[in-house]
Amino acid sequence: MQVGQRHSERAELAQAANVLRFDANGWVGRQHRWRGTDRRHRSNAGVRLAGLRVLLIGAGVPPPA
Amino acid sequence: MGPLINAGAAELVIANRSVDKALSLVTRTLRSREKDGSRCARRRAGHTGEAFGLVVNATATSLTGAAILWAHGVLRPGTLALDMMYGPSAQAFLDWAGAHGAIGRDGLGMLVEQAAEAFLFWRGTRPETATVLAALRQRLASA
Repeated sequence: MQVGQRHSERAELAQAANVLRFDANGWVGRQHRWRGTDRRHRSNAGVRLAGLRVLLIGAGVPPPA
Repeated sequence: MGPLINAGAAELVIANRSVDKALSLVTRTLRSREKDGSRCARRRAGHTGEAFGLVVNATATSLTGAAILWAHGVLRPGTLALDMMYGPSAQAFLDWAGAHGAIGRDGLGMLVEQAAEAFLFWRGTRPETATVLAALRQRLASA
């Protein structure tokens, strides 16, 4: 987060960025941990997140998966 | 939290040892979603209602080998139980989930998908992920 000069909304919420890109305006940080997860769940287990009750155990940002 | 909400989760319950840390995360998330009707309620541990459709282990228990202390009543047959770790680290959680009828999944798929998202961010092209995931599974199995 200290390296990135701009961050995505998700990175701001998580207070962590796991992808950095350098462009004409400097470093941009994003948080991609959950992106694509819904698609992965659907293809792996036939589970759609829509309408589900979800329990998230642990509110911190864990080490890289 | 945002992507889980965006995916249409009916309810999102966060269980955490540190209440302050959980509330901080919830407060930040709600602040960014003031217009979509998201609401927040605080409950005592163990009062989470019926079983969940998705249970995500985002703690460090898989790394430390600590016992899973959560009551198995949060699971039901068909619950997707996801550990964010993969390989041997995730096995205890996956065994616990499977013993109670849940569908256990480790975090390897998430790792590959977020890598694909990063590649898209850098290169503008989304790579195909199924073969990558299969190759990684094979490598882990033979390690």
